[in-house]
Amino acid sequence: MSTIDRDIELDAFDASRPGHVCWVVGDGGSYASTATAMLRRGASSGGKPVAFGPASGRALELLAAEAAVTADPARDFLGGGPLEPDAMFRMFRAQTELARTEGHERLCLVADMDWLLPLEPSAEDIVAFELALDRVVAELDATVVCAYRTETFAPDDLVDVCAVHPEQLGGHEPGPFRFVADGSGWRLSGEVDNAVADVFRTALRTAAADDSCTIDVRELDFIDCAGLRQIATVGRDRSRPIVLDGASAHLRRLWELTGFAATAPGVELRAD
Amino acid sequence: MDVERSDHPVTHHLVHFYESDAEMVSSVSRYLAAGLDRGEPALVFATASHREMFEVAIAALRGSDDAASSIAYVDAEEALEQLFVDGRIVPERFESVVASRVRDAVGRGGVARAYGELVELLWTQGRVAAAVELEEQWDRLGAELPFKLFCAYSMPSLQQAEDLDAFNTVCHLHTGVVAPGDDDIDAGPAPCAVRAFPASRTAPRAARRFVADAAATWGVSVDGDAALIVSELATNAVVHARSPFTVTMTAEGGVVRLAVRDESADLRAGSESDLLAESGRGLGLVAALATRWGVRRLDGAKEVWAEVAS
Repeated sequence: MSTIDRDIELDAFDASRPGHVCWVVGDGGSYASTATAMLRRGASSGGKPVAFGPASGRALELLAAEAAVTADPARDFLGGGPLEPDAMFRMFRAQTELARTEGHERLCLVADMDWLLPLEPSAEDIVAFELALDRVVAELDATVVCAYRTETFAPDDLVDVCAVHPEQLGGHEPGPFRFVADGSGWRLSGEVDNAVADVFRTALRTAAADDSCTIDVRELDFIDCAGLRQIATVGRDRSRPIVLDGASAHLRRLWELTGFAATAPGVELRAD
Repeated sequence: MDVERSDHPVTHHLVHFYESDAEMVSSVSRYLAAGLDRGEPALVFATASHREMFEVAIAALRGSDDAASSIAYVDAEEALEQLFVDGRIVPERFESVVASRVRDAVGRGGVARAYGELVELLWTQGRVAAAVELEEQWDRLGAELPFKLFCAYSMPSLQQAEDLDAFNTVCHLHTGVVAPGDDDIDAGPAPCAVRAFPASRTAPRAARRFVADAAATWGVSVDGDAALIVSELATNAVVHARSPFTVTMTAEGGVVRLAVRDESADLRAGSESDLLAESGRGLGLVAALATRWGVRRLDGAKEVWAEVAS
């Protein structure tokens, strides 16, 4: 990556407010120097700078001067065990409380997501993890940058991962859709078609794990039959329905025409 | 639609993609016969076998065979041999083989009307770059002389990425695409756009964008139904036929017609009921949204089409 690209990524990064950012680090990108600058910005706007990364790499060492805390989550929080979002989030909450008692406004975390690699997660695992994290980041008012390297993550997986972050830095053009936490519910925007049906289903399953699941679909520009089928499948067996809030007349018509209105009573389309 | 471009004050440079010789002969003959009716001089670069078919068809259309003397025919294969040296067009030869003849025709009165198979011959020989170069030469001549040019291409088999690019380049080099079944080209061809797409998972999204862009260019309003229809048909081509595909979109008389042609020779997917069974609700939804739809079996390919109101 050239210096110019790096500066553009930095310029687009606003460390002074909470957010959950997917940073796609290109081949040969100098992760450490950009991450250092991000942490510095976070610290100067009231955040407690924290760096995550794989203990095996050198990047974490390089960030030690700038970060108040450095950790390898796989080793330090999960004991090398499987990817357990709940265990991660307990730690995250504790770190936030500690930071506040120390006088910081929030956590400002930059995570080299290569730390996931020893756990060998599937793309689905990562999507589910990030989506759950999105909720926690919003709840804790944190600033979290998840850095995914194009050297270690496949292009299709990166598109999937970007889809479950509200913001994106670097990498290619944004993927066709986004599914992110929104207050107590979720927000779906963009275009869902057969090409992204798998990651969309994973996101839906994660969202549907909550007892109550409301998805704002006002910014959904397009959904095809395969996308509708994922909603019907995930919603089919629920006792409390998945609510698609702000469903357009077009969407409600498609839901009838496909027959899902009759076969998937666990989904409720709510018009404005 | 006005197909004239500002840098082409007179020329119409139209292209027709045909599935069968019968379709091509019918469309070219109507184009030439209409010119004869108006006293416009005609110049035809055609193979010997096509020339015979045109003569018969034009005589039938006009109820006389005086056409033979009013049309200047040039043998397309001979002309090609003269034009190229070592695979490249020689500019002076384009002048003597093509340009001087167009100039003669224009000199015989008003706007001339030309039909050419030179480029299509090159295309079917796999000489794609040469075909594009020749189209560009024609285009330059069109800026200079008042004539209409009609090109006909056999709908190509699109198996390679380079083929898709070349096909899309050919579409761009023409001022308009003649819609299948358009029988009044002289009234200005009906809005028609064609584009080729690869068998990739992002192609259906690109096809949706293509339809939205064409509709915006023509000032035609299409609702979400058109996007959904082209998306489902494109998805079927990519997922079931695993094939590159072309989308042809036309708009006429308040009807938008979308046709997706893939390279699947799989005859199980050749009937409407089989297609419905195979791809489940996707095509069922197309059937529910379209005012009319259907499947055309083609040679080694198939086309699924659907119409919606605009």
